[in-house]
Amino acid sequence: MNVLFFAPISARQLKKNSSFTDLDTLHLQGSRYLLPRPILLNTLRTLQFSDTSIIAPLLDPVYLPSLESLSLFAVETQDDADILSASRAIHLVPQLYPPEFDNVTAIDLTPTILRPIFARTLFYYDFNTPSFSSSWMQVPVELRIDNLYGNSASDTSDFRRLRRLTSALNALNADMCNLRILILDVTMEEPCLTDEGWRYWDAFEDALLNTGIRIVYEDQWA
Amino acid sequence: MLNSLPDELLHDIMPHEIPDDDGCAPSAERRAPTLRALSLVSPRLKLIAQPLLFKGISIKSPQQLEGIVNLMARHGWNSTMREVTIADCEQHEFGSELLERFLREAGQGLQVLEISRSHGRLLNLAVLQELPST
Repeated sequence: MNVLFFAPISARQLKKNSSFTDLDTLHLQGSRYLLPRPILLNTLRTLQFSDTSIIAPLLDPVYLPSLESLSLFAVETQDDADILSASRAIHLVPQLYPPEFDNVTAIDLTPTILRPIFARTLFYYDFNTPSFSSSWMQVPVELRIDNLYGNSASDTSDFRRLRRLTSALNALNADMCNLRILILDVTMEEPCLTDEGWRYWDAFEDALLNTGIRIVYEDQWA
Repeated sequence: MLNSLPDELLHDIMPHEIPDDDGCAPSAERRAPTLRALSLVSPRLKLIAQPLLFKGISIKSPQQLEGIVNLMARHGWNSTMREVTIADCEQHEFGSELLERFLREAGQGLQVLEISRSHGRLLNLAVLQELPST
């Protein structure tokens, strides 16, 4: 996928392109957009997009000097990761609030450009989606796990999820692991489990103890 | 009581009487019933309340968009919108020229813009820089 980034812009050009808009929040879903020249959005604080190739040239503090919140839902493929890596998005990192990142599996795709943000990012992993892997669990400091159990805590498939999570925790390399907090749904604080379930839960707690990872409970359905 | 207040005060008071952002529902949905009710009270209140109906709008068809563009041009309400959601679909494809005209003519003071655009011609994002400030 080819993306044309804008040539460096002079102060004079920038002044000429100055925007007087009040635009604070911009969500662009879909891909039927065109960005033929750099635009300066002075007041924009929140940006969400679904097509990295269109928006990447704009991801630059020169064009988005007030940006505080960047939703990176669009980073799903290696192409997206390559485009971001080639952009100047890295320079936006210092001015961003901890960004939302609902696709923790994209860590494998975006090794360079996003890593400086990871320390301040709350990642999500939803067990209802495939491709659970322990490799990306090492990277975030905080990781929210959704749907560790489904509708029934006695469902054996749900125990499988708990066992997979426990195995992943046991496989973490302590020297390279940043993970400190796992965020689980508040119903897990006092789980209603069968004897078999409690065995898996005890093994899970042992793994947490060994790795020094803390659990924080929150109402994930609020 | 309201009728005895000057227009300037009503302009200041009315937006505060309308729930703005409690995170429960799109603000446009919450505002509309109150504003519609106020619009029926008297012609004077209607003049003040009606433009506020356009503070937060959700547009789902090109016909709606065209109607709003024309209405705003007719009444000179080109700086009333603050939040706009425009969502296309295969059956309701927005012409990029109409969208660009809408943003240029009615986008003064626009603060929140959500566009979902998966069909039709490309929308030139350069138009965002042309939204005049209030």
